[in-house]
Amino acid sequence: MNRPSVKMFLLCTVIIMVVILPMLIRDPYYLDIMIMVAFNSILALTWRTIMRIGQLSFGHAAFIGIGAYTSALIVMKLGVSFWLALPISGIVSAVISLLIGFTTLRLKGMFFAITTWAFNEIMRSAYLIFKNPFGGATGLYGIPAPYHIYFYGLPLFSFDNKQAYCYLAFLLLSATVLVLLRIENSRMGMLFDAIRVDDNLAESIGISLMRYKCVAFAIACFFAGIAGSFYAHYISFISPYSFELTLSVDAIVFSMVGGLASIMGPLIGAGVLTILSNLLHATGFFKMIIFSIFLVLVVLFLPDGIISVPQRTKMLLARISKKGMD
Amino acid sequence: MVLLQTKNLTKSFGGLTAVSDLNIKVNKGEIVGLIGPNGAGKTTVFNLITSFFPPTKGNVIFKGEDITGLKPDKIAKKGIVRTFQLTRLFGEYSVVKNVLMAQHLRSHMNFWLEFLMPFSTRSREAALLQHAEEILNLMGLYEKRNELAKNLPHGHQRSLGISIALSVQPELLLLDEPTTGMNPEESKTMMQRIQNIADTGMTIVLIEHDMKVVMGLCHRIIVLNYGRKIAEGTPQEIIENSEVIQAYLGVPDAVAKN
Repeated sequence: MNRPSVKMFLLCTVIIMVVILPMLIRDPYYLDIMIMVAFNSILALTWRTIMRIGQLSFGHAAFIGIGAYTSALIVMKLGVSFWLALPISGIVSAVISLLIGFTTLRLKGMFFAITTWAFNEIMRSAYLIFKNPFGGATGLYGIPAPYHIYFYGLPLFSFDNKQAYCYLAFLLLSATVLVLLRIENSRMGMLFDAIRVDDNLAESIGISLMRYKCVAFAIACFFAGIAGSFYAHYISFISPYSFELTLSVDAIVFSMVGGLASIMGPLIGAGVLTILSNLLHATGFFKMIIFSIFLVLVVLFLPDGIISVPQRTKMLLARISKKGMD
Repeated sequence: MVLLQTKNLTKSFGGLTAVSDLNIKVNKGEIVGLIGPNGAGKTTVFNLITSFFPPTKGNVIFKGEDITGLKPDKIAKKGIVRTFQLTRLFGEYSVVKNVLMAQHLRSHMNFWLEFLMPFSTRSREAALLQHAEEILNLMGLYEKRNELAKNLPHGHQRSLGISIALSVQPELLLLDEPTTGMNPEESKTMMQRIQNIADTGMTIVLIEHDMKVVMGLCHRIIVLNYGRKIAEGTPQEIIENSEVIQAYLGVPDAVAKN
């Protein structure tokens, strides 16, 4: 089989699994894991998009948080429908990311990491201090579920069970993957690569650094905001502690463990680590310990992440067979 | 026709004046050599022209338009592209991908069109690929097009650096020591290639230490010392200029030996 057909086969398998699994799995516990896999995948994918332009962000949770608070507030206070609030929260997140990006994207490496981390803390403190409208330390609770969807002649699609959320989560994930994949394979993706690999050279051949960095940052934060909106309405409760540094670090760990070289990396990383931490019933500090151990192991032994395993084994086998010949 | 002109171009780093009151002119179609001892400010002149840092004083005029202080990417859009003294490449990508990446300015990218209709750009991409291969042919890299840029030998990396600059299709090409670290044989090949580029009508400014290359290629030579222009003229005039010999060439024999 040549490569495209392998890809198509994998894609079809995944689609079928995602469509059928929620019907078979009726246990809310496993459905919850699946939903979190989708949410974490978006988190990791969008973080990688920022990494693609060579910017290490430690404040990705802030944009998830902005999406979540925006959506929760406009639905609860203004009575806007969730289906309208979902894109709006993405747009608000993207606009704020542009404001942040204009000032901070010219910073490189550690300096960008520190400013984004600081932004994360600023947002968290803002939610804590301004009790109106953010609700302070208790956060916002009782965030309503999305409205039912009626199809004429088809059964009601209602959000009183987790299956519906599961479908919605994977729908959002597929939209994110589709858009990011198109960008990856277009000229735009090439420009991002050029900027990451050598920004001086990129600039000297006419690539506007700030312009394309801002574009990548805004696209990433748009989808992060949408994921945040989904999160708020799924969990129905958000607080400043939902969007702490640990969530930003999660995004980094998922992507690094999976591998940064392709879009599959963050997907695999988020999938493996989310399922693993749930199977081990790991939460809070225990989860952080497991994630950190994974990160250390991957950095030491698999610097290109899980997606480099097939290539690595191939190289290893080649080396073994060579030794056998000698 | 004057393509590029600098007026009283000055750059100070703290107390050190790297370039002071430099007035140069480059005519269309010329190959101009920029020579001088180490630290004379040659690369600084390139950095000022391409706006990698702003001048302390003075102006850069390109095609009658003041381009001082524009962003480097805008300078490239105007038609000036430089190469680097230490080769800069997109190392982790293949040779042909390097050139394709650099075609950004002529690709006329329309993100939405490309995003919504992935097949609409096929023919344009094919034309760009053909253009990239022509450049690689010109620079003798066609056989190496699928190798990773970082795995190329030094000489080929220098050629690729120039290929990347060429793929922008500039009007003025600034080459920073194109033959550095090459043996005489490679040097000669590189000279031929630069001549080939010039034959396509390109205007070239060249920083170079290898006198054989400078004397063989350049129509006109500008000599810098301590950031000042000390001489300007044809290769013959430069060889005979006593100030230049004193400052840079040292003993008159040095030229003859080369």
